[in-house]
Amino acid sequence: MKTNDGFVPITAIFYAVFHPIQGTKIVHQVPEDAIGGLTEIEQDKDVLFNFDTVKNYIIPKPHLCNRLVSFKIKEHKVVGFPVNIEGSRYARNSFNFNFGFVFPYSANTMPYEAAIARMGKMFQALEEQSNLLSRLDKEQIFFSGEHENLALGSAIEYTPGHERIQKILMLSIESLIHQVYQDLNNYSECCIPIDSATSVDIKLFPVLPPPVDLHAYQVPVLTVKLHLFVDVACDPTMIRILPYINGVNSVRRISELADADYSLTKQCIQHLMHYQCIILVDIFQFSNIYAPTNRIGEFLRAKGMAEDCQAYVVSANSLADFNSLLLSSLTPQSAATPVHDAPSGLAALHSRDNLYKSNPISNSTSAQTPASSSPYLRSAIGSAGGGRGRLEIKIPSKASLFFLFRLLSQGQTLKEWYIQHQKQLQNIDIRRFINFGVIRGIIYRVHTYPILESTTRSLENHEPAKNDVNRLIAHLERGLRRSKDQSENSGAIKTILIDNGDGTGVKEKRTVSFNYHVGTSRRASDLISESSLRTENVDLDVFESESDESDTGEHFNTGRGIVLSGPKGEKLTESEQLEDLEDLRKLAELLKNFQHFDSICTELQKPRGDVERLLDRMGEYSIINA
Amino acid sequence: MSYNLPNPSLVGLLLAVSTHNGPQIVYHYPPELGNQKLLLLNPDEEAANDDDFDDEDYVEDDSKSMSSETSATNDVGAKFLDKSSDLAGVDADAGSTKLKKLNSATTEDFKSRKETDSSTKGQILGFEPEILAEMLSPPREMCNCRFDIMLESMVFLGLPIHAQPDGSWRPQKARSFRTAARSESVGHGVSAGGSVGHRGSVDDTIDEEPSEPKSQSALSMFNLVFVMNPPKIERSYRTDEMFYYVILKLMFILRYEQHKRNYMWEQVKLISHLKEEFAATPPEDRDYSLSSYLLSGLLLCKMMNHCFASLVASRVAHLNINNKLHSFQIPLKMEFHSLPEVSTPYVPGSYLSSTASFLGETGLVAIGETVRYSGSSLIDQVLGTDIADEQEDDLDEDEYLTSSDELLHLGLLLWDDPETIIKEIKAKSSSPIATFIRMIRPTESLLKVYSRLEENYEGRNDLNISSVREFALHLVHWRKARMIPPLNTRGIYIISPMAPIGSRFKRDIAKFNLHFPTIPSLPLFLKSLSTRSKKPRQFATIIPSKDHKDIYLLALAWLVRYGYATQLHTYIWLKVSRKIKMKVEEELEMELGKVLKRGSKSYQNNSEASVTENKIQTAVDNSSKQAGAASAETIEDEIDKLQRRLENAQNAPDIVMEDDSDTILVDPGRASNMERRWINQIIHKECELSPELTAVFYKLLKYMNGRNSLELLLLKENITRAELRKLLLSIESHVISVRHW
Repeated sequence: MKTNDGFVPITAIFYAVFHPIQGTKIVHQVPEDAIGGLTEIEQDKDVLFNFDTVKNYIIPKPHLCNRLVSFKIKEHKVVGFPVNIEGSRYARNSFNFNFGFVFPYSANTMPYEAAIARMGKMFQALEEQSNLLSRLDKEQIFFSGEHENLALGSAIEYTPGHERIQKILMLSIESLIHQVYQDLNNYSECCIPIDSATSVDIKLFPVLPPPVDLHAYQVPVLTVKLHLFVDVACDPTMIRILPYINGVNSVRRISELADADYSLTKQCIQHLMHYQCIILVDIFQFSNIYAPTNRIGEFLRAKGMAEDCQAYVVSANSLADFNSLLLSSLTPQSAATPVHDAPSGLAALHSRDNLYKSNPISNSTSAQTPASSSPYLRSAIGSAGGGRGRLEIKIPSKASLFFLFRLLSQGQTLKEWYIQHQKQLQNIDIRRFINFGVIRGIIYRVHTYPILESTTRSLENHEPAKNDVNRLIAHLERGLRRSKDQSENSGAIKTILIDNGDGTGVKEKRTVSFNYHVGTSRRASDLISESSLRTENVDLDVFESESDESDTGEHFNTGRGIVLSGPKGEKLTESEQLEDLEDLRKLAELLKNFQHFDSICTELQKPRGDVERLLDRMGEYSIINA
Repeated sequence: MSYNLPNPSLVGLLLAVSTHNGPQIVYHYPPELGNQKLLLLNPDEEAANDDDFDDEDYVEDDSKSMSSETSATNDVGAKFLDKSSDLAGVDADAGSTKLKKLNSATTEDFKSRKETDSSTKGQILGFEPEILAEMLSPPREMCNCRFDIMLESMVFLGLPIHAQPDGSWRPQKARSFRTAARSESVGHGVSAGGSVGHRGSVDDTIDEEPSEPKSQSALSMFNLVFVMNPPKIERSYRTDEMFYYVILKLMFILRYEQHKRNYMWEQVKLISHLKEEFAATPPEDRDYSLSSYLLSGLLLCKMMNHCFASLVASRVAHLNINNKLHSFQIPLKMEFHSLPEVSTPYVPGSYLSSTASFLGETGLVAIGETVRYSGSSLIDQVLGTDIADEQEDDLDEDEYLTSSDELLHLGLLLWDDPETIIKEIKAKSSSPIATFIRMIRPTESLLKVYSRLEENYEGRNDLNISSVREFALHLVHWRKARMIPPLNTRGIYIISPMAPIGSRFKRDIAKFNLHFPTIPSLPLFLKSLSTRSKKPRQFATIIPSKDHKDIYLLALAWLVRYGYATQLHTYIWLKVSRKIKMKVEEELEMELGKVLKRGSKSYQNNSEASVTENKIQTAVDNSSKQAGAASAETIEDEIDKLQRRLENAQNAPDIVMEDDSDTILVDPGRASNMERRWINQIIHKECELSPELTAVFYKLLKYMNGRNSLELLLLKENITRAELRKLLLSIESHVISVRHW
């Protein structure tokens, strides 16, 4: 019993008034004889309910009027907006009416309620202005004698500028409710003129739950091509952030990249979430842990899921080959443009992946999967160079996809999983593979929580303070004061140190400052290939370790690089100590609330490795995977 | 917000009765209900109304100040403030609104005092009690069934109980109505409302009391109305919850009491009497409010207060109704079989386990939902029609053991000390349920508990297996226990993804330490559960020595109880490799002496189909979806590009399906002929199982569908661990296993 839009159809509509002599009665109703009084029931007519039973709810006491009233009668729900208008012109000094909408009791009437209330209020205003409803009675029974002329006189008025149109178009309530009934049930909207200035306009909208609270570390994935909707009327923040919603960037990161206010970004994304344009996933990292849920069996059983997965996860590099081929042969200029405005065919379909692949700030794939990224480069070069042979894109079989999903498990990072199953994963885009699993609920992210020993102890012993952390912070504060004194004396040395520094290193530093994602990738690459990738000098390694760097601090980088070979925390330069202190304070606060690593890293804008190092300094901690 | 979180959204309770003096509100709780005004739907309008009504408020105040001397100063103050704000003029707009707010606050205060002083005149929710009483005393045709009236967003929910035409209260088949009686009562209502004060009508009742002792006819209807203000989106769900879990049960009990002992009428009379008495004592003599006065004396009022307080706090309400104890609750959703979506909130400490779905089938336990607002209504959920995912409905029930059998293989984990629970449920310490509770161990299945009961009480035991099941469900339903797969040191336990780290951790660290001072702290204990080895290990591996076994199991029970840990179960499927299929095919050929390519054909077709499907998908995807929304030129662009792409189609790479070499049997219990042959091939030719193992294999075959946990099968099918291990080892290469909760 549902219309296409999912709105429950109206069972009946009636218009009831309080008749000065007969009391509350139904004047018109659609369908005819849907609701009856005692006489109809005695005649064994098939009515929805006995009107006499509920007439005190249809036209209630004046105190209860002028508000939305709905009540249950038998298996039906009547929603109405009883109106009470007082005035000496009326026979009983007041006029009461109600448009009642009857629904099945179990129906969701929410979409209708606002419209019904609005309709009631509008007719209240019309009645107050021009006695629109009360004078419809042929015998003018609603009026006390002396006002009769007034009622008749107003009918001939004309609206200025609308000379041709008679003021009253609406001939009867009967036709009005009939039309409302038909239109709402068939089209979920209606637009019925009453006079030149007013009309009954109703459009039903589904009532959606209020948006949920987002976290900075969550990653939105678009489910529709939003860039196609962008027009001038769009919210400026929305326009700004759209290019960065690519399934890789977290909410916080999007706001940074788009240079938009975080809270505004969050609101925008909440809106997108509200209208189901995005799905939330977690930050993709190779240090993540995933494990199957109880719904993993659905991959085998549910219709279409395995096929969807095959279509979705096909390795981006093979598709990138495909794309670059197409792009180079068709629109060579668009290959270089940002992907979001290259809607051509597959490029649009896989735009996220292109961005993900080509964006230097994306996660560690380039370092982690040299095997998969190099063909992309090669192919790009190849296609730019000219003709090339036919490609073959292998789509992994369902069974092998299922094997790969089931092989994920608690206690095993994605990196380990990848290394083990590299061969099977050749044609699979791992990020897409994981996202597919997470979104379909067949795997889940195992979050990692660092818990400080000192926190535990203080909680167990009901001590308020976290001694270790406080001590550390106090210690750093002291150190800061000391180094301030020193720095005043040692300005000369620093300038020399700048010259010592590796110029390129400093430059690189500048470009990546405030980029924690870069840090992540670096860090990860350090882990994976250890020293093999970077056999340069020690200084650079030190650069990696701190990614938050203000421009003023830059000068001290190289200096610190040298000094830092000593014990940590003792001889840091001033600005770093300040930052350090700030970070530690933040971290202590986050730890107090038992946040997981994703959250901490996002808040501190640091890669996990750095956070771990900070944690080390704060004392012992345990890692919990949940 | 989500259906997973409790949200009773209860604002207050009203008791409306209808006597031959007309309807009246006898009692309402909480007393603050008098101060609240009905929320208006539209905030703008509210603001507008505020201005309009200000004057009226003061008029009201005037009349009140005349009637009561004590508040005169207050009133004058309010007036003064009002005047001053007027004097301040337009430029001090912000100030004046502030003052207005102040004004309304003082008037509210004033009203509330007024209300407690003489509640007979106090408004309820901004209405005169007479009007509410009339609204809440529906005509007989609307009685004895669900009563649901909504004013703006405020829902008045109840089950009005009307006396039968013959004056009895016994439930009868709904009879045809009598208009005469109804119009009479309506007439009374009209006359009683407005001019005649509430107190007057009370007087009347009391006067008549001696003349009609125990008269049944004096009370014609009573309606305990639950006033609720749920969020719009949750309205129907929350009202359904309240109605089916509380109102329906409560009102039937009240009807029974009224029928048997005239309980409601006696109480109503007492309330009126006490009100009278209260009004009689001079105001300076009393240092208590009317509501507390009523509370001290009356069971019914106490019951209503208690009911309100418990329900608002989402606790179980143990209500004393005519000296009999009844319990009501809106069940908490603390058992989940699937992990809720990221943005779906849930009660901290919820337990995650596939076994929860067995519980859901009993209808006694509410199962958490994975999405914030599921489409299914509460009734569907209660009746269990919507619990299983639609996609999983394709299997018949006979595939599984019925849930009642299943439940007996689960264990029971008490949420508290056995003796505390026995005291709380007010069971006698020698009663069967008390004995049962004392016997419960989280490490033992109900069946085992039962057999121990039998041993201990040979013959004298009046418990049978179905009452064990009943008791267990009773304990689970009333939030005293949780059903879990029996704890076992050989089980693999992980930290539940729903573990309340972040929400409850602070409190629980201290609690854990208090309970188990001798073992590592909660974070360390959890750390040991989340090892960085490749796969989670058996619980036994983290127990340092044999002596620690018991305490570690207790700690584990604690973790499960607070939702920190859950057990990983093993689920298996049969996998048929290409080799097997080829062999079967060869055999078939030999048998039939002719070429039969059915098997191979079918999966070739399959892969071909998906190739084409894939191509279509990629082709469609880029052009469709929101193409309509795109501006005309982009469409043209796109068409252009499409054309060019088609021209270049010969350059496009081939999309090739990797061979689907393995087939996973989704439902071996209902294998087709070909599948049976494959299975036979596996067990007889490939693995050459011994006859014993073959028997075990066939016993387990129907469970190799990825839905039945091996851990539970061990308990259910009477197979030893050794046998199972042997079997799994020998068919290892033909089995896929997955571990999840």
